[in-house]
Amino acid sequence: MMAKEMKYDIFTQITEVTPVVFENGELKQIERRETYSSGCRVILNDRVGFSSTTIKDDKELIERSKRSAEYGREIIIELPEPVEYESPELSFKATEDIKTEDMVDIGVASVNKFQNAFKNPDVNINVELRKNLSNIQFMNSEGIDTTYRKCTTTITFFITRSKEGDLLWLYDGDEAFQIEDLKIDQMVDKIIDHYEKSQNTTSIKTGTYPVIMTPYALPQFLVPFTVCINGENIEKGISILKDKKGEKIFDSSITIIDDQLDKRGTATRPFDGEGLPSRRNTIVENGILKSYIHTLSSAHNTNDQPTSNASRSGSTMPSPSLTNLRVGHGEKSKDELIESIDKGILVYFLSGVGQSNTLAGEFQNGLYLGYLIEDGKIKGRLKNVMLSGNLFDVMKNIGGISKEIELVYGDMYMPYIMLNNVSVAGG
Amino acid sequence: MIKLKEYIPDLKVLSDVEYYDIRLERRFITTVIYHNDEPREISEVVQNGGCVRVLFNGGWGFSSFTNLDNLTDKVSEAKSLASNVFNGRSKILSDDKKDVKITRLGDKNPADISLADKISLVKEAGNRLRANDNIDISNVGYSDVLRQVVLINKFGTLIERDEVLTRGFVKGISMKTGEPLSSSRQANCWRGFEVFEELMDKIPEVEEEIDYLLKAENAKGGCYDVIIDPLLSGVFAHESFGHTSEADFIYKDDRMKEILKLGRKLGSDAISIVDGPINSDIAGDIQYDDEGVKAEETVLLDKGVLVNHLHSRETAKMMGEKLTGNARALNFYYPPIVRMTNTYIKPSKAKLDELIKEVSDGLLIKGSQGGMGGEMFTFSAVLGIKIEDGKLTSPVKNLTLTGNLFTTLRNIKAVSDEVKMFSSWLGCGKNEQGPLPVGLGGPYVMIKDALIGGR
Repeated sequence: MMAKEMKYDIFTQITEVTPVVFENGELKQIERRETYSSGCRVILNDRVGFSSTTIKDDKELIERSKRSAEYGREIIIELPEPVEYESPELSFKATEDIKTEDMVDIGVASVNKFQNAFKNPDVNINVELRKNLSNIQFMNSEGIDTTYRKCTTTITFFITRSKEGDLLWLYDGDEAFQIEDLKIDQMVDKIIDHYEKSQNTTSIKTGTYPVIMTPYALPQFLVPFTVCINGENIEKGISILKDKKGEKIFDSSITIIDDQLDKRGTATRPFDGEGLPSRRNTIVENGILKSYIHTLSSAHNTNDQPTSNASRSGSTMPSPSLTNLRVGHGEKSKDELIESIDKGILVYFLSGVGQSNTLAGEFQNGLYLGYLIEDGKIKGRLKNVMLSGNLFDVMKNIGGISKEIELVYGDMYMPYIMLNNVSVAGG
Repeated sequence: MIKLKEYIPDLKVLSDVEYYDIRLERRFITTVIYHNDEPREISEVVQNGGCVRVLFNGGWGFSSFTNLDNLTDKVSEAKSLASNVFNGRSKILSDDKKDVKITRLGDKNPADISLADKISLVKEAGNRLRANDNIDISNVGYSDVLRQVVLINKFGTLIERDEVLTRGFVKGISMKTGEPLSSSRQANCWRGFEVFEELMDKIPEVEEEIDYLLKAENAKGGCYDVIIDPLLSGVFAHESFGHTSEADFIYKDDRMKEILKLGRKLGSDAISIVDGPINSDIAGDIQYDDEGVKAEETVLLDKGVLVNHLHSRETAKMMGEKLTGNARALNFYYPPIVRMTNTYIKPSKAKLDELIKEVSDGLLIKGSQGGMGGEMFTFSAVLGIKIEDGKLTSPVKNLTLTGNLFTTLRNIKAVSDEVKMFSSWLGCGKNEQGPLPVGLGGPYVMIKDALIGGR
């Protein structure tokens, strides 16, 4: 029996993942991975303990959690009580019924599409399809006992073109609740377009230039921001955005929303890892910082409101993380943005993301894939280029945001953003 | 508790397959993480599971699970998945049967040490860091993984492991300049609690580095002659060259096979790179890989000439090269893929002082805050020291090294005489599998015309 002063919650996850792997255009491997994991958080005398297990009905799970609670952090939170959860449909029958044979067919079709489009045989095509089925059960000491089921499909491309002294390795991927929503054709076209555009490589001299972050690069570029709004980093006092709520941190054209209930975004779930109902958080509105992302405890310890951002698996403690991220659109078309630049860079992928001093907003990224813009036109691929600066400085000087928004990686709605002044080291 | 090996069922159904391996694993993981004097995570986690991998008619089937009780079904499932791979062309290289027991529990087996004692040492490490006036925040982490593994394969190999991986980090952060400046030391070894005790002896190095950072100005971006320290040279060997040597990126790609053909001169005479065991207990010393192949010392680059790739059974067979013992899986949930073990640059006879004397306008760069490799690499350093007319002068911070692998290999002008090896809390990530324990290191390495990003 549980002692009276003990609070707890248990997050159990049962998953079935079925990867179908194509290597160099050929079907190579079919997998099936099944896991059970259950994580128990105990709060005993206002101290938190945690343990998890892969054994069903593990008799010692709660005992281990209680033992670690003896030494755990002081945590003064009220666990939520039962409420009605609302959520878009997360598991469609058609998706659940997909067979490996169906995934094989889609893989073969994507490979064919590439092979027909690439006249040159020096391209290596790797494709992986997956069905991801997840059953979540959540219960706590306040009487919540609920479940949900989520089924998504993912496709990942890894396409390489290797030439002497010039390797082009491209990743792209998408995740969706319904297989027909996977943007396979668009991804194939995009990769073929990169292949064409990067036939010629060029260079840029060290200096300060306007830079356009495409929807693919923007989530990478915003990593220092996501680190800085993390409630645990606010609580620890190590984020440069501490005490900045209500202040202007970006150009007033920037609005950023975390939408936990987006219909299409695959990060959607009815409740977070602590049983709080999902919601829509405005994080930045017209350049002003409106909200951090919190767990119950980081919210409590910073005298802030909870935001339902606790992410959790069957084997991890709740920690703050974003769900479906939406960066607001602007007025200009992406082509107008490109045309407005005399000399600058169009960025598709960055390398070295999250390395430098992200808590201070610093970025120092290699240009993994990007192009020179000259006289409003895209010229060759730029290599050996590095972008650096402080995110909170360069995002105050915006040259424009596209009206086009693209959904990338299954859960991020991103525009093209033109930054007027970015420090570029080239050669 | 039932011995893992006793879960393995009758395998008659696999008698007609080209290859199989079965890996069963039990893990008990203890983690203690402190931020200042506040515990952020104290947890004990049980992870049990296994996997069956089958090569049948040229196709691979892989089945992984956390329930060890119905292995007969899982064996059939893996074979059935493999049989759905039409026109499979996979083949593997066989080797001799091995019967090995690996027991590595360290001098102080963490199973014999109470949670309270583990916590108390982590707290003490934080207190020591914060006793320094320049350090405002301490982050300290400790983790031990007690694991038993049994691996069997088609060739009759049986490898049983009873071992512990202990890792830790000690990190100090100074807020004195308004921006967080941090320095850390890390360890990750197949030994016991003593790994963390030894890590604590490195706290003075953290303090020294923070002092240095507080005096440093921001680095100016541009092209410099640089000398990178043993940690960064290890990061270069691993992230940039090592990942490019992994044959799974090469074996089906005719152009890559040409670019990375054995015998090609890719680097200057000064550079030799090796992967393999170093007869220690550092994270990458695995002894046998997850296909039951012995981990070998593999010279990858010998005086600039490419002499080997890193292989799994499949890539070795398909490329007609020898087994190297580099097929590794993060845990039972994943199939093995080609990974590094310990990757390092070989030393020469030159002294560091002699290297410094040769630089007229450049930087000595130290420490790593992470890196990303491939043909174009980007590594963030902790700090730099300017070199002017062959002398070390003033400290700089916020610098990143970026470049092209092949150009950089040719631009390596010299290396020093002392190799240091490192292992980190986070290890290596590839595809979805990380953090995998690896070791890396090297001597000081001098590179001409390196691109530095600063402010």
